[in-house]
Amino acid sequence: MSGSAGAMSEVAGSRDVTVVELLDRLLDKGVVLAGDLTISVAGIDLIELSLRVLVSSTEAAKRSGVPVPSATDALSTDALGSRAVDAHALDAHALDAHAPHSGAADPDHGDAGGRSPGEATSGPLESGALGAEMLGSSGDREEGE
Amino acid sequence: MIYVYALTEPLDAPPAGVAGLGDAALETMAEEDVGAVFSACTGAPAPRPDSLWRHEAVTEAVMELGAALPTRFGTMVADVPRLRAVLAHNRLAVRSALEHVRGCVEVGIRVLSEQRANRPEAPEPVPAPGEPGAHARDGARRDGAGRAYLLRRLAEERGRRAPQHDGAVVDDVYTSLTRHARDAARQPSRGRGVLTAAYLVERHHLDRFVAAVRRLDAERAERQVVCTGPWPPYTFVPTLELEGSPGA
Repeated sequence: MSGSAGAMSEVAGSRDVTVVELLDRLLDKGVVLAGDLTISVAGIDLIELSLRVLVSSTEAAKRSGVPVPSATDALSTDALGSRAVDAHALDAHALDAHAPHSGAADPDHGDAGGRSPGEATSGPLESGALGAEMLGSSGDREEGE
Repeated sequence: MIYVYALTEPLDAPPAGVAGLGDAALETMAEEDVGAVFSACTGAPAPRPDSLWRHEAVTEAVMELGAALPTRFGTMVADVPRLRAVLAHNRLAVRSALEHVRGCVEVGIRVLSEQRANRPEAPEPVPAPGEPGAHARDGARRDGAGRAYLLRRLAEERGRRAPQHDGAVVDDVYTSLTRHARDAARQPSRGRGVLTAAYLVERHHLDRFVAAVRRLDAERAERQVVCTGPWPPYTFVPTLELEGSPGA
């Protein structure tokens, strides 16, 4: 289910970037309909929280038939350094790429020490699959081969 | 209170197979020739991965039904009449933006800096950039100062080399990809990226676009060109006028 070894390494390198790309879009782009009612996503609290979000592209990748990185791939949130306040705290956290997309956490993955999403305000949020395929690493499968 | 996921053309029905935030049922509304997909909500969504994912999933599902303008995460309005008023006030802008993105997806491009070495001060040239590993080993006899010095020199060297490449590479990458896109937007680079850009790419040209990215990446061993997507066109949405006081 994987492409070439090269493609897979591209996937690994791309996934953390995808997190940043997704957050950039969800939180900074998109239509704004009501200034005062747009949730305080611009507020620092949520931004900080969001930086702790570990996401995977698994679901979307599965949907589109794109090769999915193995479950053991770690998603280095160091990539979040572009917006992170304390991303270093997240460096070692691994992501279970097969975590259910409902966002239910599996604290056994990563070194979050069993912190659950319910405790998200004080710890990293666990995985939720976010939809973004890595075209760069798998694009030639896109509705092609 | 309603949570709005995307602005659309009038839809017969909301996308099937996906629920809104808090598992609320998706609904549609229309104001003349524009519409929206929304769900009832009681307050701001929890800033959690599942919420972010849900917003994205709904938006992607809406995109399957036709042209759609995704909202920013957390976009809520008081009620449908209020949403109707905002749409009516911005109908032409929304309509025009829908036409603009029709048949397209957004693709994100980042050209990564090979190392996050943001040390601009690089006064002295380093004579032998060749074998940093060997140098580091020489000085690494648990002598913190010596090791730190070498690491700093290495970082300086990388920092010194980077700017020479970045301008040309970034302009080249950005420009060459615009040929394959309907629209493009270049954003201030942050973090690892020396280029951050978004492209509005027609779906049936996605293969071509990705092939172009791969070529660019292959041509530039020193810089990784990363492509993400396809995304809803978050970057290519209009700025709406919020009529009067946008109070709840």
